[in-house]
Amino acid sequence: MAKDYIKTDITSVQQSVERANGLANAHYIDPAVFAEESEAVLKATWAGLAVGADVPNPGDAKPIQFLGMPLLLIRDKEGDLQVFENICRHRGMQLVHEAKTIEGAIRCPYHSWCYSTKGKLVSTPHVGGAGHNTHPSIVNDDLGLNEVRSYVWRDVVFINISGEAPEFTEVHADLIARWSEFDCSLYHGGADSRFKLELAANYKLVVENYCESYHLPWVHPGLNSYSRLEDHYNIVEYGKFSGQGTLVYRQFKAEDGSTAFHDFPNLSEKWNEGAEYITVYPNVLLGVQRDHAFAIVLEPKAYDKTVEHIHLYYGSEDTEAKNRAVNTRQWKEVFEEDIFVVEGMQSGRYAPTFDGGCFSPVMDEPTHCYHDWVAGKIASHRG
Amino acid sequence: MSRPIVITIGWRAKSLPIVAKRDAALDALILKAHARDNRVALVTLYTQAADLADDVDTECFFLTHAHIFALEFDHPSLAGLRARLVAFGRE
Repeated sequence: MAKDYIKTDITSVQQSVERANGLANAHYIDPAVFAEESEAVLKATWAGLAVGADVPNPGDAKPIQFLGMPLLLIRDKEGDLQVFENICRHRGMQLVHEAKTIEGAIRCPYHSWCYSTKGKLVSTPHVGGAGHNTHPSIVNDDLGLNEVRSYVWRDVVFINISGEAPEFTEVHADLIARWSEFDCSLYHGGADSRFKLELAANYKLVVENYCESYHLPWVHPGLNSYSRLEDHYNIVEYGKFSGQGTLVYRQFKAEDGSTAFHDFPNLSEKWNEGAEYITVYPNVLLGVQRDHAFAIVLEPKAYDKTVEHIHLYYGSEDTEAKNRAVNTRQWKEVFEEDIFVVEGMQSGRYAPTFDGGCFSPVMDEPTHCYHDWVAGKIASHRG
Repeated sequence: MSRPIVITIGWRAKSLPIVAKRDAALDALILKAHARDNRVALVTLYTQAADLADDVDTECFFLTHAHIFALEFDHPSLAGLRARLVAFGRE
């Protein structure tokens, strides 16, 4: 049966930046359109789910709802990360209800079927009758946890729900190459280096705002003193990624004015004052700078609700908690400054005559690049 | 009806009494461990219940429970419990 919604017109989005409109209101305010778009954008591609630091130790497991799907992020006894559907293969019962460390096996709380941290079904108590724990029709090797395709890059756990996307390293080859100098160990700052922001807005608006530097002098006037608009450049790779860079990055300084954090090793001169902020489509915002980096995973709670999960990383374990805390606070202030514009744009999507807006060919191309990518995924999905 | 005589013959970790016959007292301890979600104690108590069983089916029923809770926590008795079930062709 056909779904009860009207397909949006995306042809006006897939125009040159000078002529294009943004995505129609329905992509932000209509649950049915959001559902279609989610199939095309969040499930068919590599979407960010979490970070490895969410499960730092072997056996750590964290249940996560993603687009309503019960998933389980788990680090097995060998330290490898995997994502499974968080349900028992027997009767579909949710397996893990809260973040915890699996000491031995994952035991379903319903009939106590047990799974290893690698997802293998290892015991089926009483399945053949009381005290009989096997049955010919229940083949353990066929009933392991359903794995969700995943890939970890820069500690971000990406998942491909459809299972049909090309390899992550193929999709993001250009971005991985662009930031190859940052291909080194990342050290999450720990509890003082993570925070969440909850927004009453569609996740795409967070991306759209993050991609461009146009808003910086207006929304982040504090940056004007050292990071002027003209010191920024657009990063636009149609069909791939977009964002912005700066030419005047200054390292974080401790209270006494000294350099607080070690640089990432082996960086070229480009990064002495350079820094880049790129969106890994569809929902991961990354930043790299010589002395620290960050990852923001946008959790699409609903068409009009998003949680930003923000994590700060350093080039070594040798960082002082006091400096990390100040750095976290400063970033939090910056990201909080963006909330009112993102939520304001969400409210604006209820204006019936808004046509998706237009783009400055000079300043908004990274944002148009994202719209164009989303529209392209929807077009492919519609066939 | 009089209750069976319970002979306490020793104590194990976490002050669990060892009983010589499965009866209401052992059942009560098992229920108490379940109520407190003390799964490590359940390994010991279900093993006791298995040890005291009068027939193989009953023994394997309780061994199964001990084995599952041992599996959940990678309990030191896991291999032994599994071996007993395998020996009976139950695992």
